[in-house]
Formats: sequence, structure tokens, C-alpha cells
Amino acid sequence: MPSSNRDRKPRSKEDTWKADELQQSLKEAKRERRSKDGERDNREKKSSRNHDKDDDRRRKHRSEEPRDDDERHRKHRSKEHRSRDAEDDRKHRSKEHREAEEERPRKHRSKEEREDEERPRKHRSKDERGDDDERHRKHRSKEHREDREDRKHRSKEHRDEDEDRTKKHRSGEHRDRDRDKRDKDEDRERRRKERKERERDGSRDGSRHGSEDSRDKRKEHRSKEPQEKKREHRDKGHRRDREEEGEDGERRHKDRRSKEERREGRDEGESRHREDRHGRRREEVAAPEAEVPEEPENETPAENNTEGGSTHDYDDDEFEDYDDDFEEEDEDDDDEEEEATGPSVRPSEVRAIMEAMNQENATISPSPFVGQEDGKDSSGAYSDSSTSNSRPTTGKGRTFINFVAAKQRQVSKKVATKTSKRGKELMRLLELDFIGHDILDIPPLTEYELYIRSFGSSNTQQAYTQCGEDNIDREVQTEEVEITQKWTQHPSSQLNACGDDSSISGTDQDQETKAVDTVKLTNFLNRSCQVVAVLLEEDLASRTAEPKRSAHSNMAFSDNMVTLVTSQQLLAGRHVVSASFSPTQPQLLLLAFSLPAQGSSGNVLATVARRGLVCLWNITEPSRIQKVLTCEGTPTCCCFSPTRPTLAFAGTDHGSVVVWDLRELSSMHFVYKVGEDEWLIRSPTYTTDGVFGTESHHGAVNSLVPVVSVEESHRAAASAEKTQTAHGGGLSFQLASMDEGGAIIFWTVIEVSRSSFDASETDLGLTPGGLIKIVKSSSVNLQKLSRKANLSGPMSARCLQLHLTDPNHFFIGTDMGYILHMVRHGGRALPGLYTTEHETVTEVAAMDFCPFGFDYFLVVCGDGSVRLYNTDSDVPLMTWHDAAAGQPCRVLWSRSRPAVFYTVDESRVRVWDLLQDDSSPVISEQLPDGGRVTTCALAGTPRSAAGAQGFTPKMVVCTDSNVVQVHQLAQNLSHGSADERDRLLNKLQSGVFTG
Amino acid sequence: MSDEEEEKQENTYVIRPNFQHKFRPAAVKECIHIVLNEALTGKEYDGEQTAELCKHLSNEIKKKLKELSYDRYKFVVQVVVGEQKGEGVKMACRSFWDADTDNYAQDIFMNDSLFCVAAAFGVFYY
Repeated sequence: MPSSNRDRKPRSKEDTWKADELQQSLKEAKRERRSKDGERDNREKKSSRNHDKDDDRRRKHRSEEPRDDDERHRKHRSKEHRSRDAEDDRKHRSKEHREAEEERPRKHRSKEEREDEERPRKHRSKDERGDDDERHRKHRSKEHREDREDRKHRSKEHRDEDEDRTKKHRSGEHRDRDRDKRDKDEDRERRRKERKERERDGSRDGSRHGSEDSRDKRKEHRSKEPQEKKREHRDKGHRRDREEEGEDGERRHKDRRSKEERREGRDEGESRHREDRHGRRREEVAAPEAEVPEEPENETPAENNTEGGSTHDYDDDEFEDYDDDFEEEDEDDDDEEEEATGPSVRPSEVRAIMEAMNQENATISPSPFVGQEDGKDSSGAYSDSSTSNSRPTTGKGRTFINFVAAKQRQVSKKVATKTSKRGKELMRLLELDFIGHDILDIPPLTEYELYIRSFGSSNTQQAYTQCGEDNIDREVQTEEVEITQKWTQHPSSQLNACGDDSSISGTDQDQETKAVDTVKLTNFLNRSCQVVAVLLEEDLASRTAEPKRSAHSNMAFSDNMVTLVTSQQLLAGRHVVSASFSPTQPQLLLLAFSLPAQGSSGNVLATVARRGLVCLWNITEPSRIQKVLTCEGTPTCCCFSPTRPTLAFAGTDHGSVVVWDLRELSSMHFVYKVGEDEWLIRSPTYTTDGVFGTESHHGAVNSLVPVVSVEESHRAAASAEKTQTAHGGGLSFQLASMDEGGAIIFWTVIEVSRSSFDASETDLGLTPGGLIKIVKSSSVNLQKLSRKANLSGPMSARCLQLHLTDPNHFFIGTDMGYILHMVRHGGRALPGLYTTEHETVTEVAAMDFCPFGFDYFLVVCGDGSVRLYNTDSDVPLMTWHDAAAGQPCRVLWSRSRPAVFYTVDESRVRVWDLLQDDSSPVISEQLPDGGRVTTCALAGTPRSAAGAQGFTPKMVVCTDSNVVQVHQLAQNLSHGSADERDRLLNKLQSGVFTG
Repeated sequence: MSDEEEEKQENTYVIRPNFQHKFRPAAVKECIHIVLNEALTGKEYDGEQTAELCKHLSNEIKKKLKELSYDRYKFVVQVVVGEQKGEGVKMACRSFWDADTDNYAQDIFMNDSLFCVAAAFGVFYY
């Protein structure tokens, strides 16, 4: 069968393949893939393919002709076997030879088609190479173009051929392979040429000679074209396999391609040169014969040419070359090496092909060859092309064979094939990856960063300082806040309820002034309030016109009578024990009340009830008690201070002398609630209770007489208003008190300065805050006096009177009826004793001196007799018996009329007028109210009575029923004639009394 | 591993380098670093000298790499010297090789006036 194949004409696409032929071709293709020795297989297959298709070509391809199917196979196999050991080179060489042979006919065609110049140039070394390069380039370009066109569905010059080929290429499958192969072989030849040209351009090794390289390149081009086509149009997997396998695969690819190209070339030749087939056949006929001898010839020159080089495109190139330059090459080969084929047949075909190729190449710019394969191919292509270049030229006879170049080419080709083969094999084993690395990445820096990078490296130092701008002070200007500290106490009591302990200047003055103002104000208010109160009272009285208050007195001796309201609950059960008018201010009345009777003080507080009371009245305000003074025990007698009514004295029944400072603020005393009223009851400022112990009185104090002369009192009264100062200058005086035992104690009233508050700590009798003290200055014991007076038996003193003008003399009324006359200082008082006429032992009830400066005094005794004594004689001047009925209370010399005196006893008031009747009282009035008269007093001093303006002498009469009546004395009693005094004096001096 | 033994001596296809002989980027980097440091410390950028410097550096590095006795390794040394003007520089490379055996090492030297990048690629020659 292979022989038959061989004998057949070169197969073209129009040929009908026989089944076996088809199968064989397929097998060959498979073998290509499988076998590792792709080159050889390819070679063989190529050769077989070529032989299958184109007998002429086979003929031409002497190396191929013997590769009719069987023969080829045999040869393949033989070749394989041979080559397995060390025949690669040979095969390579043979391939190269073949390729060279192929190239030769190609070159022939090309020459024929192109200029004749090129041909001779081919023979020349470099020029040829250059031209060859150009040609090859053109070829390659053609081929490349063909490739491209094939890929892109070409529609250009070689369309006839190409279309078939393209169609077949596109639709190329293994089934269509036959036709495709044919077409492809043709195309491949072209492409190989182009590629070779490219390769030539792209990779030019110095070792490769131009012609050889060109030839090789052409072959490689062509081989590559079909290879590329194969990849695209055929099984891509197949191709991939080939690629993966690497260089071997590539080689195989190329081999196959070359084979296919050869087939194509064969097809080309067939299609174009069908008429030549005969020739071809003839050639074929001759070819097989020639092929065999060709082979060795081919081999040897191939060996010679390409010793080290090895191209897997050998076969392809050869085939390509053969395809294109089949006839020519064969012719050449035939010419060269028993080529008996008719070159005349070939050149035309070749020329036509070459023309087409050149045209294609011209249109397509030569593209640089890309890829290792190409590079590697190029090596072989170069060698092939070079060899092929040289071959056809020489074969044609127009050029001579460049054996040297061919050899060189062979050598280089050998080397190249070796490396490519090696590469292929290795590629099968290796995996290559794409890896990217970042070698450097510097971001752009700002100038600052640059600066900072170099900062500090020089002799600079970075230092920072803080100028304390963070320490922000703020000054605030505000008004200074005045701060004062004050303390206060609750409950606030007495004076110091609040105070401040710091002495911030500026504010004290105001307070001090205020304090002063307060004091002044209070004083003013005190005085003014009295006046106002009096006025109000009068107003009230006049408005209301209460008859009780100021009733017309029934008494003959009084015009008006004012009853003091003593119905207060405070005074319940009490009665006046003693009454005393203020000598300077006769409207002030001091009433000493007794203790309340048992069971009468129901609602009164016990503390108040068991105490003695002394009330200060203002006669003009009969309804209101001015002040309520209290003391321990019952006050027996009371009196005012002689100069000013600021002090009230009282002698108690247990022998104490009590002083009240009426100036004391009400805050010093307690307020007692008696019933529904609240009374400010003043406690004594000074009391001699228990202070003086044995030195004090041992008995009840009978009388309390301020030791002051009348003149002093008058003077004081006159200047009373002027001398009312806060400190009360001139308040010091002496006070004489006498108890029943007859001890007379002279007290000195001292006003304590305000500053010494703690005086009370030493003097226990002084209340805290009190300013008045009484200090015992001297005392007189009556018993001594009585012994002096040669009196027998103890006596008790009843009353005490001081000589008005000379307070040094004091007279004591005893209960023996004697009146002792004592001198306080100095010698003996004469007469020392005043007795009665008859020396009756009677009790001296009361004594009263003449206030008009006469040294006469009246005495009323307990037997009711009234005596008038002259201080010089111890015998009374006049005695009125039965002057007073019952218990006489008092005898009072009228302060207004010197000749009038009053005797008041329990129930009656008798008015005696010496000038009028000196035997019996002029008026004798019975007190209407009943009740016993306890005491009575006359207001005013004689002086004041005489000189006081608007003052009417009054007499207060108090009963034990707690009725106090203030009688305004009758006119005739209050005012006397001017010469009354003289008359009285005359009378008294004459001592002539009728009664 | 050898595929075919022809009559003549063929290459032994050593596909993989020995583990010890593998291209070690760290060692190479150290080598580069030494070269750069000794050559560039204290140097200022000078446009004229830089060309020479580059060549010199790459030669140095190549020599040193050779001394490292990586057999069957091909070296490619690339040195880039640039002036430090605050500009941003990016260098990258892409390679299509066998990642097991082939590798690269690079080192950067920077001072105030210049920066220098040296990259050495080692490709195993199969």
C-alpha cells in the first residue's frame, strides 16, 4: 500500500483519498503526538504526508519519496531507531538537507518570480543573505500574511490556494486533515517561508549563514505557520499537549507542520500544477529512486551542514521548502544530486508560487518573531533557510553551492535543534508562573518630611519653652464687700441681745451715735411719756368725767378728791401702810402696801403675793400705777430720794432698807402676770438684807428719813430739772433709818458708776446692773442716849425726825413720852429730852416739824394729846388734850399755811388753825369711807408750796380698806395770808394760848 | 535526569536545584546590603557619577553573587540610583519563571540625597 501511495500522484485536495491512505495519514498524525521523538516522527510523517499527497513532490523530496507510507514508515521507523541512539543529527541534517532542498526549489521560484539579481546574490555570502533575508522576509511576510489571512479569513492574492487552505484550515479537524493537510502544507510552505524570513530578521545568529539561515527560517516559518494554524484551527488540546510537552512538542508541532506544509506544498503544487502532475509523477517515479539516494546524500550534507544544530523544523522546513520549491528543489536536487526531474516543469509552478508569496510578503510587513519557539525555530529555520537558500540556487545551476555556509548552517542548526529539543523536553517537566514583585515603593515626601528626616542630625537641638501663657490670671474688680460679724442670742435678754466683736471702723460710730440716741430718746420718752400720759389722763377724765376720780370732796378741807385706783388685782388685799410724797415733785406719791391679807390674793402669783409692794403713783394719773416696786418683807415706811425722785427707799419690817432705782430700765426687771395684767415689778436695786448682818437694824424700821436739809432739798427741787443727767449727779445723800430698838443708822447712798458692772459681785445687796448703793456710815444707839438722858427703863423709838434746817439734830419720839434730842455729830444736844407736862407716859405717835423754819414741832401722843414744843424748851408750849380721838395716826403741819396743822386719827381729820382758834380744831371731818386711816401725808414742801406754781397742796389719806384719797386742800387751807407767819411766830413766841 | 543519551554527551537535565543550592533571597539580600552600604554611605547624589556608580554597583553585586556559588543560576542584577527629592518612586517587576527555583532579592539604601535600589534575580538554568 505505501508503494501504491508512493506511486500515486501527489495528492491534492481534489484528490480522493482512499480509506487506507486516510487512515495512514491519521496514524501518522497520531504517532506524531505520541512519540517523544517528535522530530523524527514529524519528519517521517511529513515525509509520509508529503509522499502521500504529492508524488511529484515526493519525487522532488528525495528524502521524502522513500517515505511512501510503508517506505516512509519504514524509513521513519528505521530512522527512529537509528535516530534514537545518535542519529538525530543525521536526521536533522537530513531534514535540513531536505529543507535545503526544499528551499532550493523555492528559491528557484522566488528567483524566477523576482529579480535575477537576487539569485546571484544568493550565492554571494552576505548579499545573498541580505537578499535572501529580504526574500525570506518577503517570504516570511507572505507566509506570515498568509498565516494571518488564514486566521482572519484571508481574501487576498493566494485566495485560490488560500481559500481552500483557509477553509480547510478553519474547518480543519483531524477528519478533514487530509485536505487540510494538503492545503495547509501549501500554506505552511508559504508561511514557513515567511517565518523564516521573520526568523531571519528576528533572530540572527552570527553563526548562521544567511542562506542557510534563510532557508532554515523559511522552513521554520512555514513550519510555524502550520503549527500556529494547527494550534488555532486544529485540536487545541492537541496543540496544548504539544506546548506542554515543550520543545519536543514544539518540535513535533513543527515537524507536523512541516509535514503538513509539505503536504500543502504538495497540494499547492497539485492544485496549481496539475498539469505538471505528470511531470511530477514522472518525477515521482524518478523520485523514489532518487529519494533513496537522496537521503543519504541529504543526510550527509545535512550532517555536514548542521552538526551541532538541530531544528525540529527540519521536516517542516524541508517540507515547506519542498512544497514550494518542490519542483525546483527537486529539480535542483536532481540537478545537484541525481536530480533527473525536469526543472522546466517546476520553475513555472515555483515561480508562480514565489510570485504569490512575494506579493503577500510585500503586503504584509515583516513582523518580528515572538516566542522562544520561534527563536528556537529560527535557529533551525535559519539553518534550514540558509541551507535551502544555498541549495536551490546551487541546484539551479545559476548559483554555486556555498558549502561552507551550508556547513556552518548545519552546525548551528544542529546546536539549535539540540537546545530546542532540550527546551521542549524540559518544558514538559516544568511549570512556569507569572510572578510579580514590588521592588521599590517610595511614596512621595513632602518637603517637611524631608526636612524632618534630616532634622536633628546636625548640631541642632529641638527645645521648647513655655512662656506660661497658660497661666492666666484674671483680675476682677468689684467693690469690696463689707463684712461684719455679729452675734446674737436668743432668747434675747437684757441689754446684750446682739453684738459684734470686731471693731471695724466706720460702722461703730453710727452705732454709738445710735446708742446715744437711743438713750437720749428713751430719756426723753420717759419724761415726755409721763407728760403725755398725764395729759391723756386728764383728757380722758375730762371727757369721761368720771365722778369717782375727781369728786368734789365733801370734806371741808378739801376741794377735790382724787381716788387712786387701787383696785388692781395686784393690790388686792393690801392697804397702804405708808405714803410719801416726793419733796421735789409732789405729784409723785409713793405708797407702801402691806402684804396681802390671807386669802385675798387668789389670783396673784405667790411670788408677788408674798412680797411687799411699794407703788409709785402719779396723782395726775390716778388709774395707773407708775411703777410697782417690790421687796422682801413688808415695807413699813417709804420715802423718796430728796433731790430727785429717782430713788425710792423703803424700810422693811425685818430691818432692811431697800432702795429702788426708778431709772432702771424695765428690761432689768421681770414682768409678772398678775391675773390678766402684766406688771413689771421692780426688784430693789439695793437691799440691806443680810448684807450688813449684825450691823443692820434688828427690828422693823420705823422711819426713814433722808438726811438732807431743807435748803438742799429746795435747791435740789429748784434745780431738779436741770440736774437730770444720765448719771444723776448729786444723788449722793445720807439716809437715816431707825428701828424700834432705837438704833439709828445713817446710810450713805452712793451711786455706782456705770462702768463697774461687777460691783454687785462684791456687794451682795446690789443687784446686777444696779447703780445705787447704800453704805452704812454711822449708827447711833438709843440706849446709850437714854442713859445719858438719865432715863430709866428701856425705851423704844417710835419716830424720828430731823431738824429741817440742821439735819445734825434729830429727834426721836419714844414710847415713854419722851422725845429725845440727839445730835449726830458733836456734843450734846440741849435739851436732850423733851417731856410732857405731866410726865405722862404716852407713846409718841408722830412728830412733825414746822416746815417754815420755826423751831417748833408738834407731837401727837397716843393718849390723843397734841403738843407743841419749842425745840429749846423741853416742856411743850401747848398741849391740846383730846385732839385726836382714838389712835392718832399722824400730825401734819401744813405745808402751805404755817398756822395750820392737821391731826389725822383713825376716822377723822382735824384741821387746826392756831391763829384762828388755838383751842380746838377748826375743821373736823369724818372720813366718809369708813375704814381706819392708816396713814396720811402732805405733799410738798413749804417752800415749794409757797413758791410752786400751779401746785395745790394735797393730802393723801389712806385707809385700811385700800382706799387712797388724795385731797386737794381747800383754798383757805392752801393759801394763807402773807403775814400769817409772822403772826404765828408772834403767837408762838408769846406763848399765849387760850386752849 | 536525562532524557536520552545520544552518542555524544548530552546535558543532564537537572530540573530542580538542590535544596541547599537554591537561590536564597535572604543571603543575597545581605550580600547586596553590604555592597550598597560600603559603597554609598556618606555619598551625595551626583548626576555625572551616578552612571558609573550604577555600573560599579551592579558589577560588584554580580561578583559577590557569583562568589556565593549558586551553581546553575543565572543572575540578573539591576541597580537604580535616584536623587532624593521627595518624589515618589515605584518599582515593580514581573517575571515568568519557575517560582520554586527562581527568586529575587532586593535591597534599598536611602540617605539624605539619594536612594539606591538593587535587585538581583536568580534564574535557574535547567
